[in-house]
Amino acid sequence: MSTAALASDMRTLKVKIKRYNPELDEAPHWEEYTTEADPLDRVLDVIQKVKWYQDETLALRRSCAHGVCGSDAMRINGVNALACKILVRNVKGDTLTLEPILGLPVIKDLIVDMKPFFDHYKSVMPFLINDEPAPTTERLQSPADRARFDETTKCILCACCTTACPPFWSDNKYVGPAAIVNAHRFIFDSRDRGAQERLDILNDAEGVWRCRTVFNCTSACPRDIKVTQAISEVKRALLGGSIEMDRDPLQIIEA
Amino acid sequence: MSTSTSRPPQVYRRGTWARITEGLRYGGGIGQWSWLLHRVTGLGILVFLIIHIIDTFLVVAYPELYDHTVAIYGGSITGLPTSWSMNGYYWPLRWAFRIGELGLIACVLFHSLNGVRVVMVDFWPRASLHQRVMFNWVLGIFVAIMIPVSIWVLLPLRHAPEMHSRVITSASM
Repeated sequence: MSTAALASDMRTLKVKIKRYNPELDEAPHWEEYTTEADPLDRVLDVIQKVKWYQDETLALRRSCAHGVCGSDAMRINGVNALACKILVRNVKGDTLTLEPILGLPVIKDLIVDMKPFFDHYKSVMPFLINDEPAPTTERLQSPADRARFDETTKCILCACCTTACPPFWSDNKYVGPAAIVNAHRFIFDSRDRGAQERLDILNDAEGVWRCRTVFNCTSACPRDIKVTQAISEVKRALLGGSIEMDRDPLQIIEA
Repeated sequence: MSTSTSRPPQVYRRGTWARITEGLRYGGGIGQWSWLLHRVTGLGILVFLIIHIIDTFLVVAYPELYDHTVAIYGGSITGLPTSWSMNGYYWPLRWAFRIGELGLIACVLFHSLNGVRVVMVDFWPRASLHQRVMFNWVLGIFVAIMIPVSIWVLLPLRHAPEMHSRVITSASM
């Protein structure tokens, strides 16, 4: 491809960023930048172009830049996403609106304080609990048992889901979708013995029952985890009193 | 670099208003708007229940006042200039309450239909895969019921009610 053909594909984007300087500002304000962008650039590339060539004071988190570390979660054109997983060609219109994720305190510009998020994550004990003597080899598991919680192993703790959740915006004590997803990952693991403890934690007004099935978490998840369904499975396990009865109401009728 | 204009770093915590406005700007899908509508219709029903409890309370406590209240719902009110009315009948009053009733029916109908959808998603995990289709069903049934009901509720507004003078006399007795 010639350079001329490449140049013609370039788009001029107006980049609107919600800025907050903790040393000077009382509240965030909007700032606008204009930059050229290739359709195959990621939103993260556009932000870095602004930071490197126009305003070095712009603050954001990013690490791997390939959708694995989950540190560049932000609100892009009104919807939570990872800046490194959205291409410029998928941005509608000529304006790119960037804001910090909602529901967590803003430290600077696009950086939020993740501590409340990780406190909720830790509260559901997201680690293997099994006091039985460890076998000399691995703790074995059938493929079907492994598939049971496969969805929820994909979580990268980017907070896209939790900060897309209206109940979490209004109530910071709610554990939030991400914590429930990570509880689900161990509750339905056949090698784990801590399901009852985790279910007791989540069987609370600030646990799974704060979920209002808004589905913002499911559409925000950059890993395509069906978050609302996972939460629903935990609710079902609580209602049925067993982690075996979450799949189908017909099974319960037969039982 | 001078730091005289700066102050110790702090974090920005959004207030209630900021959370509401920023939340409403969130580009959520059907789930978000059906959730919001569910909340708003729930509040609508609550407002009706408060009014309803007050007016039925009057039946026992002050029967004359209750008759008068029902007359107001029908468009009759005393104390307003007679030049505004047709024989004591104030049509904007009756229209307001009729349309309010229709709004109440809409609130109850949407809230109950969507409530069934929410219950299904809550208690049957696989229903969450079909939540959009289920919302289309909610909308379809809502419209199918609201069309005949709207006609039935609004048609009587074409004429002044026959019975308003009787209500007035019973209220003034």
